[in-house]
Amino acid sequence: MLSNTSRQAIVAAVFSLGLAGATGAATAAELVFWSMWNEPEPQAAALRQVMDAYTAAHPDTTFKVVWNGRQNQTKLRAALQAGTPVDFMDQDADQLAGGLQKEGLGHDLSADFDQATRDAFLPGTLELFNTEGKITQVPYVYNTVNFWYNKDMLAEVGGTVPATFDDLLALCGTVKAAGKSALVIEGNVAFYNVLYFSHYLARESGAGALVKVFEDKSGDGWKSPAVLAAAKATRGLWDQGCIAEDARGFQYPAGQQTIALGDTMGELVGSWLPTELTESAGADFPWGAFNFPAVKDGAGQSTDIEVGLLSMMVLKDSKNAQEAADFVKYVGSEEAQKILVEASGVGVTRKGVAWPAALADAYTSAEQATALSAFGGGLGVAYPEFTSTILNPEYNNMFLGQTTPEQFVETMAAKTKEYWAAQ
Amino acid sequence: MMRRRMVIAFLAPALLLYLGFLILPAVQAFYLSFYDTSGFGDSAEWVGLSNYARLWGDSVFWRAIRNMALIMFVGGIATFGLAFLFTMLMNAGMKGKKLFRTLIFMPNVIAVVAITTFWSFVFMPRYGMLTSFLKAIGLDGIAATAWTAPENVFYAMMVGLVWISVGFYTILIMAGADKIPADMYEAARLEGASTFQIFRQITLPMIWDVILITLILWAIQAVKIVEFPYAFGGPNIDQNLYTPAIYLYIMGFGQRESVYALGYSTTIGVVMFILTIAIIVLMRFLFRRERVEF
Repeated sequence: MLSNTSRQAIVAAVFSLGLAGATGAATAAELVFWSMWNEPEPQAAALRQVMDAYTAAHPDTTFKVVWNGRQNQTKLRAALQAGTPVDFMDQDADQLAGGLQKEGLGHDLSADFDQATRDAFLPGTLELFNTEGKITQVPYVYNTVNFWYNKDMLAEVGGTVPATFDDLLALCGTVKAAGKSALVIEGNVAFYNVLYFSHYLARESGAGALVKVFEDKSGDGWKSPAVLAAAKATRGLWDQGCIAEDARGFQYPAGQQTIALGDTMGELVGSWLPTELTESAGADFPWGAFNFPAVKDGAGQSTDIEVGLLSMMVLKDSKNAQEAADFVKYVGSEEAQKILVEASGVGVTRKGVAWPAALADAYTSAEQATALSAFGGGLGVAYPEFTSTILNPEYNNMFLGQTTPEQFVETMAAKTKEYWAAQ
Repeated sequence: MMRRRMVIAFLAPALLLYLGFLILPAVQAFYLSFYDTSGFGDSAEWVGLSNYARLWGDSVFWRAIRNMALIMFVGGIATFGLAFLFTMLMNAGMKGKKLFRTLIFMPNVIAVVAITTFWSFVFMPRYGMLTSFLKAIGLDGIAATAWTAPENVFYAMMVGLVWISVGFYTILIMAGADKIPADMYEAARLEGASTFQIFRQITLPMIWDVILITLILWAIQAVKIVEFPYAFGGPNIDQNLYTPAIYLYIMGFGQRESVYALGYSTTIGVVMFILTIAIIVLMRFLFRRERVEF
């Protein structure tokens, strides 16, 4: 074991200078919140409104917020080592699951969430990451993964929303004949591109298929015909002209900008796309969304969706755990969720709270979901390192034409076997 | 005695800061590299040399090392080739020397993120500056190249890196060259030496110590480089752009996936440190020359 005394002494010395000033000492009713948002973002303003509303109803509880941006959990790691008091925080739910939650640093909120409270969440959202009978993170923002597209363009080319993968390929031809591209990608965002593979595999073999394939420790899971079929079919999107050849070189956000510019009909991505493109596409852009279509004779349903949730977590060592738990519960209330929708334009996790108009299709998708998986088939939650360093780059190589589907399967089988042998 | 105490008193704060913020964390890093830890909580586990053994067999790390070597050698040849060329031309009595010197140094005063955004736009497929230019002059075939596709992205990044670096190294080399007595150049010209001969026979030998320092600076930069490739590749950086320092960051600081292999990440840092020392020692040995006094 690492010597705690020496480590803590050094870390405390280094960080106390920088962080003590930033956070200050919390009073009994002052909750210290470390947030994944940056202060100028509308989501931060919305959360500030939620906190103000809570303080108005509970004058004893005030908030001290550190707006850390997306590296919140990483920054929190150093702060916790230095003993900085933090009561609750927020982050992408899958990142939390692989970080603070995995390390057992979340406060158990199970007792605070009665059945009625649990039932108020949209299907599957509360359970997706709270898998061990405890509630340690509470999702409050909901992003679905769908094909996000220009409804007007679909109508102009005379297309319809595809129900099957074959329909999607046919639609590609229709859009191409009109001189446009049906789909676009970001060549450098492997974790976006792997969505094609994880979805196709899930449609073929059922939700959670990717994790099952990987958990075959012999590596032979990758050699199943379904995996090769998924690799070939998704690579085939290029051969069928669904995606323009030069999209291989698009670096985020160049690809999605082609939708705003009217060159491309859509992209497989999270429901944050309309927000990201508000400035370039305009607030009245005719957004539509449809789920990844069904695959012929597949075991999965087209209502099984991948999601990107954002969650709040009360920290295990919080001195104000109960007060923080009460607030986190309030964030899931109808009142707070409506503030989030109206002030920041996000989708939320509570049933019956309508999402912004641009996300209407995503709300339907969330409401009708038959199974939820985390982004990219959920492999990144339990096996983040393998996902980040092996699956995503290897799939991207294949998807962008640097290797063949057969080589991809062979590589993944070998690397999976290697991974498990090293455990 | 009094003077000695004064020296100690004045040096102590700086030394303490240096010890506390540099030496101790560096020693701590060596220590941490023998542990498997996420950095959360107190769950560090002693694994001895396992992190080093794993790194040895890690193909992603070797790809990062390969990229580092390409920056060091290919990027180095391009950067110093251009820096020498500019030094040679400016020492040949070109007009507007000061303006030219200012222009080539200009990229160094602009934020790296802004520079990389500019270069990303230059190489962007379909709408980028290079594509538009090539189309405008009728080279549609070449214009169709996806400069930032996986097979090209590293070299596209390298073009920008060389462009930003040339000015800095030219200025350093020029600063050395400016100290060479002008009569030596005049004598050489009277003897009929060409610009290239003057550069090779006079400038280069007389500023060899400056050259060595600049080469070492470049090598250190190549080993630890993060900002330019990272900003060029974006937050979702492609492995084709990984350098050891970027890989360290990806493994230790939880990006899109929650990878928090802090012990392993620290091992990468230790290897980078050892590599830097080894490269400096090797370069000093290889480029050892007798100093020219003037």
